[in-house]
Amino acid sequence: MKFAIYQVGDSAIATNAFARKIGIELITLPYPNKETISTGILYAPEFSCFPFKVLLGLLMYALDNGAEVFILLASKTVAACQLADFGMAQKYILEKTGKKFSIITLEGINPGNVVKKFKPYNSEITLKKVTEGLLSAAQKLSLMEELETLYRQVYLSSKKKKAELFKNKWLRTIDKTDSIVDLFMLSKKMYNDFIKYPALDMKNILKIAVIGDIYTINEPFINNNIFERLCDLGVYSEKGISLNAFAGIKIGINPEDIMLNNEVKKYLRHNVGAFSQDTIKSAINYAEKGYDGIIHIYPFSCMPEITVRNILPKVSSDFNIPILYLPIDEQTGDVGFTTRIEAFVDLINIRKSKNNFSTNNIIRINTTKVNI
Amino acid sequence: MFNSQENPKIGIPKTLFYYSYYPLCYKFFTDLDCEVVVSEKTNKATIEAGVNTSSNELCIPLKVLYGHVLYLKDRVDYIFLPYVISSSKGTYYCPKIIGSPDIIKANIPDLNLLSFDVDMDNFYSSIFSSLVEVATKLSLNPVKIYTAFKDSVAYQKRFNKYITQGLLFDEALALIDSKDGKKQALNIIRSEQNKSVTIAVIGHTYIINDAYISFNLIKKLKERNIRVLTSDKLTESEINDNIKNIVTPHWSLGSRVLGSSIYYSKDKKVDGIIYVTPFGCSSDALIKEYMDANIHNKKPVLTLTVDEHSSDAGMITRIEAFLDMIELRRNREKDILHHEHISKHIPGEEVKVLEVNEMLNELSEDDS
Repeated sequence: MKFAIYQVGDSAIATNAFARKIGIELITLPYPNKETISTGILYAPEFSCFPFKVLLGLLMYALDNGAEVFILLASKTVAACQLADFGMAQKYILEKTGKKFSIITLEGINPGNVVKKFKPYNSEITLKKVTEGLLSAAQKLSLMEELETLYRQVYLSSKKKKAELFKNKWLRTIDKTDSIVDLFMLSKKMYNDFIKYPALDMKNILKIAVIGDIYTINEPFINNNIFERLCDLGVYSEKGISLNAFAGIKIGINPEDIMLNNEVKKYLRHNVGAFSQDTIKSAINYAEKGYDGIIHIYPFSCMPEITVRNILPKVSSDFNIPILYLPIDEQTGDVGFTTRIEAFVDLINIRKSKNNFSTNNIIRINTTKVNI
Repeated sequence: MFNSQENPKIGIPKTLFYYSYYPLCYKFFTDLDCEVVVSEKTNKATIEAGVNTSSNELCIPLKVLYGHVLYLKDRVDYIFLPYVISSSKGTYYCPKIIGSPDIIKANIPDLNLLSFDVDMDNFYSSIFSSLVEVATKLSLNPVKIYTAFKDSVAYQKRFNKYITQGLLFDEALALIDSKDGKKQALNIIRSEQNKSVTIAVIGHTYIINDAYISFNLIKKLKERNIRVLTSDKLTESEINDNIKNIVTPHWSLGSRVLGSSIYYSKDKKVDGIIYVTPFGCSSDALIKEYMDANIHNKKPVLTLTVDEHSSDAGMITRIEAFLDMIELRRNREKDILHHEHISKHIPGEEVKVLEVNEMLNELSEDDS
């Protein structure tokens, strides 16, 4: 029996590790491309969000290639978003076209629950196998996340080709390493290799944070490879949210988080679905860290992110940080996208150089003194 | 401790939850000795003000909300804008609506908002904090607020009864305070029932009841001597009965649309369904998919997508074409029945009856 699971970016490395550990056969999906997207659009309702259409296309590809069971991650934190209906709606749409398959919905990552869900398909599954599988998948995800930030730094400090070599080498190692102990050691090895490259001058380089919808940020084929493009322009960039957040994996408690959460509630009192509060949180966080600009990227007709998009102008003026809004759908053109990013980078570049030579900072200190 | 202000003015925007909970809000605030000011009906100026201040991805109901709030801003002491999270157990409103007070607060400066949580999903934990919030803002006694709340719920229930009997929003609002309201309601319903054509208008209550957004749809139908039923008429349980086999009711707005369309498609008296939806409404996005597959009796459905760019003439054309189609359909059915009736009474002409039946079958195949 063949299984399939949604792939986001290079997440196949993590999901394959999980599948190998628990002993199921997983179909390798392609990256979203014109073909899969156009089949998705053909069957999806008009106003469903763009990720729905893309993922529907990928699901159809998987079914055409013999997948019988589809694994769907539905974290409880994303309840009030269209994602809550994804599995149900996609099954409904595809069964109309005569395809038959079943769906396993994993609500949060709980090993006991996972065992229960997979038992009917594979009787040899055990709690130990599942825990190992989940651990190694999670670790691989966070390693890949780390690798990507290192890659961007290497790209900016030396050449693109060197950075690509560095990335491919470590991606292959992450993919090949199976033992969990080795995986936990890998982070340090990777860092030691990274130090060999010249260090990046973090003070003078332009820094941009990309925040917004989790899928759009993490799938380079949907966001027009925005991180690569920012690197091309010589800008250091960071992700507002990583794939780990989706699986509900959080390592350690950050005391700063609690302070930030209270700050966020002034702007958005309730989490209105998906990661809406997290988006505002990361905007505030990066503004306080002294980033030069923020790019908010979200799919057209995404309800939580549109709510956030209408609140972010306030954050922008309160924290004095420029924000570029980029809605994305199937009509988004490659060139128009690049032009807007280039213009934005030019603007914040001018802004930064002006700020460096003006007496703005001194004036600001004086006014705060008067207020006290 | 509680020095109440001299009759503070409370502004209620005439959009979103005005159309479902206005009686409750009105009774609640007048019981607390507040003056209630309702914004103007949605008009061109409201929409323009909204379009100018909001981002263009927002749906039209929220753009309209901007306009209403801007109208009220200088006229009242507080603008009442609650965080309406859920209306019954396990269901939620759309994220944009839950966050609407925050959106308004972020874009219109210097607002004095009176907002608290309305969360029926965990009612008992939220009601206390909500009451305290109102009490501190208006500096009133929480006990007084609680009794006012209880009274206003009873008042709202009386209003809801008229709505579930089949009265429209404006009619019910006019009757709620009159003494022989029940009699008048019966008279209205009786006169409505005599009309030959019935159309069900479904959609979110703040779309179909807002004359400007829905291009006077209900009035236009009434002018053509048509009985209008709306999706507001159904009770919560009637909706759940109709959709329980199809979806889990997660979005309260979406499930009302789906449930009422299935309910009315089963009703033989209803000749057609008009479904009004705002452009870019993603909580309704998947509903149309379910609706198309689950409509009974091949009932004709007209979907009208509205936004600030739609035009009156375009709407009229589509509505008229739909009504003509319904008229034709009715006549055709009548003709066929008539023929059947005659042919049955002519001896030795049984063959013809068969033909008529075949014709009926063919016609119903045509419809699909």
